[in-house]
Amino acid sequence: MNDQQRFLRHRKTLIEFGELVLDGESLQDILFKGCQLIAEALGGGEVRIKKVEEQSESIQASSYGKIRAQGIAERITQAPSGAQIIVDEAAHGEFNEIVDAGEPGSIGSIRVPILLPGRKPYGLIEAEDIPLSVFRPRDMVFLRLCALLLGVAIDRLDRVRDLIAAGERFRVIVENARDYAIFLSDKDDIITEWLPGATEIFGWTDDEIVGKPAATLFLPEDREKGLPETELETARRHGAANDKGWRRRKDGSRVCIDGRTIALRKPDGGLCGYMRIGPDITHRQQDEEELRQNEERFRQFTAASTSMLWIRDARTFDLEYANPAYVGLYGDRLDQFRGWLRNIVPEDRRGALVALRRVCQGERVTHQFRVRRAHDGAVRQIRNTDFPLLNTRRKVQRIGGIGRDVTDEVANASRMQILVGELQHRTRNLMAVVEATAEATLRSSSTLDDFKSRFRDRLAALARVQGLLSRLDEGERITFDELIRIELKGIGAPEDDPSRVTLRGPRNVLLRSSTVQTLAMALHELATNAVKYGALGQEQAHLSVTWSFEPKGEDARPWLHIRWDESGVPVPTIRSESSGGQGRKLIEQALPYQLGARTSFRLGGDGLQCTISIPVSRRNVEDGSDA
Amino acid sequence: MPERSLRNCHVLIAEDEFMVAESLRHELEDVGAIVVGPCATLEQTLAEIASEGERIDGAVLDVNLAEHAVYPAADMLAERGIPFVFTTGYDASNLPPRFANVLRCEKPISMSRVARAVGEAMFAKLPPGGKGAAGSPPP
Repeated sequence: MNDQQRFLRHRKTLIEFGELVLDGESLQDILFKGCQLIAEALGGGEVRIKKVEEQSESIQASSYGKIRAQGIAERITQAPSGAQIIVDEAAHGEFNEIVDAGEPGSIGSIRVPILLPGRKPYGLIEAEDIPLSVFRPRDMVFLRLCALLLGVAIDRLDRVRDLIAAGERFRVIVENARDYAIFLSDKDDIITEWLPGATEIFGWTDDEIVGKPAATLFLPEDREKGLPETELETARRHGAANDKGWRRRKDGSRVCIDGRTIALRKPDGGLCGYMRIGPDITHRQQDEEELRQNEERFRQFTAASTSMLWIRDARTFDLEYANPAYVGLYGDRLDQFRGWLRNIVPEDRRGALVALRRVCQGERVTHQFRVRRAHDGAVRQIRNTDFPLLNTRRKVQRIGGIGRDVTDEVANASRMQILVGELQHRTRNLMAVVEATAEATLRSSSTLDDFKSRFRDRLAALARVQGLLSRLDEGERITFDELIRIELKGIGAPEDDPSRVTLRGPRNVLLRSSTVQTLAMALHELATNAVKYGALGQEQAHLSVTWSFEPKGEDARPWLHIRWDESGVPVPTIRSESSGGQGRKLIEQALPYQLGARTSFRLGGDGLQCTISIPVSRRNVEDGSDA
Repeated sequence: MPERSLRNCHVLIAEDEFMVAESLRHELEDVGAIVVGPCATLEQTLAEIASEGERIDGAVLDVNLAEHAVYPAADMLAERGIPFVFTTGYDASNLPPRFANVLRCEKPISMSRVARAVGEAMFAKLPPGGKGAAGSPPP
């Protein structure tokens, strides 16, 4: 084969090589066929393509033994454009001698580097057992052209392979991201790509949804508000838009997506569509909502509570939580423990501290102390129940407490105790009066029947007074006009008949409660005697009870002056000592003795005349009563 | 317990309720005692002790006299070594501790029992200058 023929063959081989590079689908094919074409073009020998394996630092070769990669790579980079002709002196001799042309009959190896675009070394073409006598520089050019073409082809296929691998990785990621809805839409926001996570979350398959507007996924009310358009507008302007919110699933139920809408642009900047991606946070949202409602419930509860609710750190005693009732008592400067302590009256501080320390030991403590209320300085009795709040290791981490203002309660309890004592006192005294009345009645009674009727009357009079006195607990006072009317009515006197009875005097003269019973009993004796022997027992007779009020009488006290006048009793019935005596005794002795009264008792020819003056309640003056 | 005679003994009555005071007076007079008082107020009682103290052999004191506690009068009697009993509508718990041993007749009580009780208080063996009190409860 002459030079011309070799040249033509080289050209044909190059064209075939070029087509191989253009059409080759597989790197292995290209490399294999490449070796074949080169060997044919060189007219013999063995051609290999070796790749620098960077990781293993060795050259991947089919038949040769290991050659250190670094050495080769070094050589290649040192002489990137130069090919090497290595004279193979022995079968496996030294490779480092480079010759321009060989002696006739000599056999050699030729190595040409394969460089990828950017001059990154890929490997080399190695032709062995080449008859160097016929080897020409032109052959070298041919080999170098082959190496260039191979470099381009390898690069192209590498890129394709990388792309395919990346695409595969991407596919695996997005198809398995089932918790994420990912889909693409075109520039009119019509859905074009619908990934499995979107199906999982929204319920539509890609067949059902692709081709529909992405707005389909919005709630009707959000569509009306123009939310989809707003979102796209934001994405176009800023590249992306957050779109967290509730969306509609295929079955109409709602799903919460914490999504992002990303505008996709072509290299020239023109909009080509949108990508949406976002996780389903419905459960998280529901949990948050539940949490929020719990907090709201707690807030309402503690805000409405009149008890003071609080939580302290068990180590520092600093306040971590306090409700409005607590703030109402202690004020709003709640940060420091010392501040709290200062609100407590000094004598009670130690007790409060001891209680807190006991809670730190895990005890539950109810204790009472006094607090100077922040806004008005009033001292309030507080009853606290403090309890330990434990952490997961069962250690006291916090102290919780419920405090109640028991000031009124304590005052009520002690007032109640006084009232009960008072009631007992009054009852026992009354019993003593009843007994004394019985004995006095017995002493003056001639017969048992006589005793019976008079004792019954006196008991009834006492009972009426008790009825009046029982109202005193309601803060009322008994007035004289009330007392006289009730007594007259109680014994059946015609107190409404002006021809028989005249009652005249200021209304509302308040009586001292301690005087009511004795005065009532005296009036009772006068009245019953009047029924039996005097003005109330005889049609033509008349009873006149008049009274006047003296605001500043003896001892500078207010006095009440009462006149009891019976008239028209022509022949005064003989009042036996035994019966009328009790009334007289009460008037003349009991009232002065017990009430400090001034009295007179005179049985005139026309009937009984009696006067009673008693000190009355100072409230008559102080209250500016109309009496 | 044999009944002691109160004959010719001077017994002070402090009781603001007239009817009760009268009953008590009758009862004491029935057994021959000479009644001092009765007094309806603390003021009167103190005045009576001050002027008649030499003659008084015993006393019946209503704990509550017209809204005032009778204790100053009780203290005055105790100082003079004059025995006395209380009549009261209150619980024992309401009495000051220094009177814990004073015989107490809770109302209502039979007047004759009060009269008997004051007799017992008077004839009880008392330490010299004692508190005028008898430890034994009324029978």
